[in-house]
Amino acid sequence: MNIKKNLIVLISFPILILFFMMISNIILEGHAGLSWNYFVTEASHAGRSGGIAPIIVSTTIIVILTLLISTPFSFCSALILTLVISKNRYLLSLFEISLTLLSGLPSVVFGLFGSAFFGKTLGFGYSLISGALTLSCMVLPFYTKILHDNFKILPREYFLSGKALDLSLYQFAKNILIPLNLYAIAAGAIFSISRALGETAALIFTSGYVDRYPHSLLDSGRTLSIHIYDLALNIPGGDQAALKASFVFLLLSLTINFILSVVLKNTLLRGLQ
Amino acid sequence: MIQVKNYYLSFGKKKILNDINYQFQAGITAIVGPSGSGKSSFVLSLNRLTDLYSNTRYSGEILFEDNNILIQKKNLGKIRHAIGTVFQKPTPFPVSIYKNLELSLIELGTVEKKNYLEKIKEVLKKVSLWEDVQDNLHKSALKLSGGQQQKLCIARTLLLNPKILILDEPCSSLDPISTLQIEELLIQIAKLTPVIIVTHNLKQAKRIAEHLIVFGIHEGVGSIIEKGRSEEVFLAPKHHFTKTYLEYEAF
Repeated sequence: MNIKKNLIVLISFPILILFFMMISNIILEGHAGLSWNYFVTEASHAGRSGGIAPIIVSTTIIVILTLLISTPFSFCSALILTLVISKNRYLLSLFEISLTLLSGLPSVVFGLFGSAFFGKTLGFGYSLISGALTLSCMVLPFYTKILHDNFKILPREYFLSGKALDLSLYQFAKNILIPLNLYAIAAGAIFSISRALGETAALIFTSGYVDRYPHSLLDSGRTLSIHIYDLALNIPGGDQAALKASFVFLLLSLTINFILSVVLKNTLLRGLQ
Repeated sequence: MIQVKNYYLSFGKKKILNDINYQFQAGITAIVGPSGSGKSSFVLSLNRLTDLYSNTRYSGEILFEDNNILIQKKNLGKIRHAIGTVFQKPTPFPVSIYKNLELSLIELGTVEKKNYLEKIKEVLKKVSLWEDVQDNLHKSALKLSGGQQQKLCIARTLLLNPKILILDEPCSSLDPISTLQIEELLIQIAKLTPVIIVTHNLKQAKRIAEHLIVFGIHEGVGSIIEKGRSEEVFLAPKHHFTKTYLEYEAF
């Protein structure tokens, strides 16, 4: 017993050390020179100096757009899978396998697809909307899978009751499926946000990496992750700035997580307890 | 009333029901029988809710108001309103009590919006739930107890003015007091609307039913073993299977 327990601690220890090394590195080196000015000014010298205000704006727009696009699409896909396609067992398993495979596809593949389809075919070019659509495609399979898995385990009586009362699909979704699956929708939304925040490969080809303010949704913009990636890899002497941006990234994701958990606890999920 | 003629049902290759013939009558009809004998599938067939299962196949006739509902393509919703169904597991929708009942009225579409509260009050009084919930109409229906939830589900179905009410083991997850309350309610309803109730509880069938159908399983397929007036079947069962099955009533 003791050996097993020690083994578990031994295995988890390096992960903890690695985690604290990364975090402490970012915090110790990143917080230096951080001021209010950093958040409200534009970048200069390719990001080596100046602030990150346009980058935060682009990031926020892309995250919100992704959430707004992927949530309804995933919900409807999951609904169709549950209500229509599930009647055919073979078709359903085909769809389920596709969802699993697609959610494991490398993001760079989605980036190339988005660049070709949204950028060229639909003519959005390098733009925030093109990036958000690509990210939506990327999170769609997993988001749909989360929702579909939750719809599947609902008691069949809910579907039967809905049919027995002859509820319209809209009323059924609004009054039964959404309230019963708030946890799943919240999980999918958090997944979308975190993917959108952390993504670089899919966005470089679609939303581009211009570091000024975006003028419209059809304009190119740089997200925080791309900013960090660019500073760390492409800009000579950008290491310090990259650490600084990473620190902001850490703060941002902590803040979003905190806000989400407070909002979820106090509003959405209260009705279910 | 519903008349069933030569009804066969299967889900994919699995046969469920074999040659069912029955003429339903006014009052309460109880359906009893062992698990897996197709009782629930039978009552769900009466308004085609079995269509929701995958690969449902059926043949025969189910006549309701001179229409064979098995070949009907349109207006299944109307039939499901006319033949209301309450299920084993209480499934109040995860919204407020008021909204639960309002949904039925919205789907029914014949009541004006300003009369909703009046209608809802009336039906809640009918199922003797008004006293308990009148101050909490806008609280979540999931906060109600099991018995109250099932009453709410019955109220939800009654709002649609069903011509026949089907209940699939409505009391199997309820305590004895709630069970008795629901039985009293069913006796009240049955004065105006025929009630069909599936039950595992033979004592319950004896207490409330005027007509009895006994289902049995033969080689994995369910069929009607015995049917008739409830007291006659309980007193003098004709079939030996019914005899042994009814003997378990003592337990």
